[in-house]
Amino acid sequence: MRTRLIATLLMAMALLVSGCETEASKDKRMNEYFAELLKRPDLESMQDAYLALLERIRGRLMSDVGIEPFIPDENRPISGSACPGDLSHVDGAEVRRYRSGRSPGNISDADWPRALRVVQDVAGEEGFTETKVVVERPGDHEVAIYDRYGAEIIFGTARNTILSMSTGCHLTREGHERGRPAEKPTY
Amino acid sequence: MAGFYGQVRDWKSGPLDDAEGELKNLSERLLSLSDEFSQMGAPAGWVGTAAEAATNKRVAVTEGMEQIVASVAAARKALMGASDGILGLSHGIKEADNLARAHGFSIGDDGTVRDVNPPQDVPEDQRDDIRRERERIQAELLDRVEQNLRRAHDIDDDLARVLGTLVCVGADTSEVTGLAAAAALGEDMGASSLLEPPTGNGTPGDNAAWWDSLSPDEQRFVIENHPGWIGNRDGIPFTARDEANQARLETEKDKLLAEAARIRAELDDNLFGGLFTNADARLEQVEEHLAAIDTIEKTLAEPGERQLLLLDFSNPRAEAAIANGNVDTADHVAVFTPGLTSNVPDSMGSYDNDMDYLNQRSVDELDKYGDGGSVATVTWIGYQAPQLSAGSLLSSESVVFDDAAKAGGAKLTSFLQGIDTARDTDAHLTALGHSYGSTTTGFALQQNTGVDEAVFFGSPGIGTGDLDDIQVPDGHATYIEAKNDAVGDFGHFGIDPSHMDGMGHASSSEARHPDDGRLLSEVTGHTSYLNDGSTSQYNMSVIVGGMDRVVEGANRGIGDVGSWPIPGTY
Repeated sequence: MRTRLIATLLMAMALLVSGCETEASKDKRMNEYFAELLKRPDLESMQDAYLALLERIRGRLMSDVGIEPFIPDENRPISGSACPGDLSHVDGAEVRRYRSGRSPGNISDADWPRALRVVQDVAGEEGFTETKVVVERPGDHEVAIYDRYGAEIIFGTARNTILSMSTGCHLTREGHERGRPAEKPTY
Repeated sequence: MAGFYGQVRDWKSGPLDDAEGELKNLSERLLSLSDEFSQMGAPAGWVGTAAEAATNKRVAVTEGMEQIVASVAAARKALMGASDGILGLSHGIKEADNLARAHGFSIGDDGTVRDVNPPQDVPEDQRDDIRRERERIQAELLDRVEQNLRRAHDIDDDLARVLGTLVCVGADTSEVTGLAAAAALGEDMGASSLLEPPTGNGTPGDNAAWWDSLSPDEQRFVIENHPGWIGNRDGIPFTARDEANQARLETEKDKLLAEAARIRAELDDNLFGGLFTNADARLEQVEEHLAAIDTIEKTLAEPGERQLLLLDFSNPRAEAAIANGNVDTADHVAVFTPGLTSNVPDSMGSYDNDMDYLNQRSVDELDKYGDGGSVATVTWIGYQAPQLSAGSLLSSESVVFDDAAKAGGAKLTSFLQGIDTARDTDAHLTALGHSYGSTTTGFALQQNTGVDEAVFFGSPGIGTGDLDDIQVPDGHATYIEAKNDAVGDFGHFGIDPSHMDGMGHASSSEARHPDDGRLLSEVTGHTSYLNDGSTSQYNMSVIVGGMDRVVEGANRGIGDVGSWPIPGTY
């Protein structure tokens, strides 16, 4: 027990030492993140484009492949949060997640290639060009398609068909227009 | 003769409404006669002793009228209050009766709770779970009966007080002039008192029963005028807690800003600054609380429903809990407790992001493979998690001791119990604990909480060496350990969960799903378990969604050889 306690304390001390980043170096790191994100379009512009894209994909899947209309997720069709990990400390850097809900029923194995092509074609127009096959088996298919900002479209079918998206990390319009990290609040 | 609870069960608001209606009619008739009487006045030119006597009599009659009007107004108000109260109480009694009926219990007229219809032929492996569930329900029913009786006495006392005063001494109208003022005085006299919540923190059952026994108007009044009563009170519906806590954010911020200004002035006035006082430390604490409010406000402003379920500034570091989704209505609820170094200002934004991702992954799986389902994920920083400062490491709340985990575990127990208690139907409830937060979760789950699934990850021990101490259904406790996570091999609080009999093991390695073949990514070290797209996050998402799709696998390394417990030593 004593040995373990000492080991734990040593580990905690090691974490303490390794965690001793100065405020100045943290600020520098945040400034670098901010400058990098400033090169991307602002979140509101991206959101308009992404929502329109999802709308187009749903429409084309219904008209071209004949899937049932999506039952929308009424609880949280859109959600958002700070960016992951370290980027969560960059003021004004956020991500969004969009849910289409589910289209009842399965896209048959025979129709899946056509459905996938529809999604790739429409998404490709908005820069989603990198497709990763997630699931590929009879009656169950899923792909993830990415754009250059790390936004991810999930399109899949098994018992039901799903279409959802999470964006990459972007500055809000306010942060973008400010052009520099927000001043630290003083109390 | 029925016991008092049976009598209360039969209380109806209708007769009180009728009585109030009759008094209203009489009151209106009286006022109309009074107007007529006043207009009569004294005949012009009538003077002398008789005229003076008539005037005196008229004044006396008018004063008497004021007293009657005040008394009638008081009685009406008291009857309305009692009627309103009985509506709330009836709701509270119905909630208790429905809960009892749904689980095979009965509540007698004397308030006794009896287990009249326990489930029969329960398979051996489910007996513990069923027993725990029934004990939890029985405890809640006892709390509900107790609170319903408290409410009944309150209604009865209020009405008796007003009517008793009116009968014995009448309304004192000596300080008012005119019938309108007398009526207003009467209304004040007859106003019912608002039943305050159970003393102290109350059990979740006490709190839920108290809340259910209030009328909708009274509940609204509490939210708007006493948000501090309910914001952190487990057992109260989370929608109400959220509304109360969001209102408290503003008032707490004002108080903290004033406190910061006061301390700064104190420091400025002191020649030695904070050298010989603790003002510096106190200012630092107030500033931490203000920074916490900033983080909370930013998080709540993000799109997608969020609920502020906890807001507490009574400890050195702020405590808060934020839900992605609606905990009152979601089919699946997960409560995540983080560990070492977590605090509201620095951690809430990042963990809220993790929980939002987890929520989305879980909903995607439910939509694709099931019939859909709603999910709420909660980041619970409701305890003083150890910090990586020299002061903290050497204090009783150091990460090397379990004091903070035990204290946090007690609070987490109550929070978890409050979830099913506050809801109309039980949620599929998952407790997620990381690092020291898994120790806190482990202590919490050694009580009967209603949690259906437990996931511990990167754990230095879950506060026990025996999984039987963890009160979740058999086969529903899962451990995830990543490669090169030394913390997961400490086995400091109990034994290393990697070696616990009965513990399920979910993978954190790069893995192909055994059913659908998807490739999931590996995480390594201590802090990446919730990374989006990782095997560990996927496993948590399907457990949260109640889906039997876990990618199993224990990640054992050299550290696990060293942490193998010696039988008889734990």
